[in-house]
Amino acid sequence: MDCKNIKELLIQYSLGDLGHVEKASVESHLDSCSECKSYLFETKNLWNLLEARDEIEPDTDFLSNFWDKAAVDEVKLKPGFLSWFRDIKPNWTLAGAMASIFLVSIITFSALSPDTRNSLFMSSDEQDELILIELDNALSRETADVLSIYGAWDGGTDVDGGIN
Amino acid sequence: MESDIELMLRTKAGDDSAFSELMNRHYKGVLNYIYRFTNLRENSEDLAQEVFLRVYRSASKYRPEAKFTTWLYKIATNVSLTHVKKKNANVSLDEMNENTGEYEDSEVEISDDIIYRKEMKKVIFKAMETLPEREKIAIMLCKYEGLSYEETADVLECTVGAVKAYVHRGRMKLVNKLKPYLTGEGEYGL
Repeated sequence: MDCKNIKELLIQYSLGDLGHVEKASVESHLDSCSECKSYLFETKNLWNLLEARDEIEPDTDFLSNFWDKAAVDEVKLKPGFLSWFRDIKPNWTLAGAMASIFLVSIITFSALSPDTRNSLFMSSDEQDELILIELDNALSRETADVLSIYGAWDGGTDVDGGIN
Repeated sequence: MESDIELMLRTKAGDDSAFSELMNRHYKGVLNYIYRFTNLRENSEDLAQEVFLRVYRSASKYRPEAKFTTWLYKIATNVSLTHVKKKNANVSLDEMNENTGEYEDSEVEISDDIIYRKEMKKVIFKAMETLPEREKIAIMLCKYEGLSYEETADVLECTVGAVKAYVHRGRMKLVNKLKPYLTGEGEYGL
């Protein structure tokens, strides 16, 4: 292995993460390579150097501060009476857009819907009703014609003065 | 001693004393993690409180699927990253470097050791800041917080192999950046 490959393995080597074969080849390389040896020294030192960052101590009243904040937080989060309405914020853009859509819909509907006053066709219900009246009249006329040969129905003289 | 998960389940059931116990265990670790992340001492306390507030608020939805600390540090990482990104929009790195987290007293004579430590903190913070986000987080969690590669992988939502690669690459970059302080021959050599 060359120095580049060895350097890749040195951190794992220093952590004891290497297998027997790799560990042996790293150690034999380190015996003969001063550059890699000093690199190993530097990587080990780096971890020690990072210790130089200090630690800070928490405030002595960190717990009571936390519970104070949590209490305030709880009040804020608790849904109160009519809180839903309070939370509603008027969105004028949305309201304007909705109103525009509503107006456009009404205008479009009015323009496209047929004018029934001048139409040749009436609504289907009215049409059906007229057909039924016409049929009824036709049947009545036909029945009257057929029965007329027997004269008037009330047993008296017919309209023409004949005897039944 | 009760485990973190048991304490969290007790918190979920409404026992606030269990959450106080959890805070006693982990508050300092989270505080220092945030401090190392942001290098801003005065904000670290507020941010640590924010982390625990988030945990407390979501206790009702807690399910003991992952280790508590990985969940905790995931939240701490998100809070720190959000803060740093927000802060970076307004504050330069130099300003952040100037805030070394110590309250200085001009009347007190500062020893060489303190000057050296202050200098080292600046140098390390600057070097860490140059690392890509994931390499920095991986090193901080493994090195300072003592999280295993598996736990760090959970925080970063990646594989263990990826965490090893982040730590390795970050460490190599830090060695190059901090070379004068590592050789044992330079002015600041150990």
